[in-house]
Amino acid sequence: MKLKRLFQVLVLGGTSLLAACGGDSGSSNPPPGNNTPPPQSLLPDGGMPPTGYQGPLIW
Amino acid sequence: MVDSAGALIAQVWAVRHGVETGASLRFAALSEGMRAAGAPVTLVELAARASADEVRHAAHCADILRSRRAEIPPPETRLLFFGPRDLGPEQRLTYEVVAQSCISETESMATLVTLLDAASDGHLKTVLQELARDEVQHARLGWAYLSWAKDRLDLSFLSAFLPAMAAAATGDDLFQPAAPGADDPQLLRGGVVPKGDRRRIYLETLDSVVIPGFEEFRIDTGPLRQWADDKRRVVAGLES
Repeated sequence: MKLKRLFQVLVLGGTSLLAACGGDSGSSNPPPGNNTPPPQSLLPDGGMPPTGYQGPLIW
Repeated sequence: MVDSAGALIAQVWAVRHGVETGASLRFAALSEGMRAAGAPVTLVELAARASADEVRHAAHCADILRSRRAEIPPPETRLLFFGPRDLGPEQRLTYEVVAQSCISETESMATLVTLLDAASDGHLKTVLQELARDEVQHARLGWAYLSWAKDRLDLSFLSAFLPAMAAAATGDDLFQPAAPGADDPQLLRGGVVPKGDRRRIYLETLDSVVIPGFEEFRIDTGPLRQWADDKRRVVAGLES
């Protein structure tokens, strides 16, 4: 029963979040035009297992 | 409470301190990544707020360690990502958001709910309530991101990676044999779920929350279901 509630609060709450904020509430950055190449990376480089962390990411 | 339980409790809170400081770094980078990808401001700000929340959570972990006269570990300073580097930029960002929010934060909420039910100490309960309030938003961020991304990106690539994400979330230890005392029910009073219960909660949350969540986005969860079945067999072996 609690897990069903978690599904509603987290998953359904999340999927409806943008609509609840009034549509997609505006892009943070205009999409690139046709002549603009896509960014090479959206994230900085980081370490990856097995070279780095092997501990948990959860509580 | 016996000393061995106290030592185990301190060890878990020390690990959580690292989990929180590491998550803070990751959420800050995800916020920037979402901004660069043109994601809605709501998502960018949620991720930035999550980064700040995690610093506050780490401070609570440190307070609890201090109150137990336990050593506070140094904060995690490495920005760790787990997705393959050969993914495209949008796929890589999506991988990391899904791993962090849809899996790790969603799973952490199930643990927090269990701890809240068991908490009798007033201070611990207050801390857990604050963390749970924040973690709801951290988990929702991932599902909200998928709602935005699904119209811009074919999410089917995620299917094959879900087992690796689920495994990375638990780290190497969860499905290994328990150390002596790790299943002591008294641990709950110190804010720690006994290991056998953690395994059960993790797999039940995958089945009832995480997997149905991915299926909302028509992502094939067969590989993740297979991973969970394998882990259930491991657990059965450990408990026999």
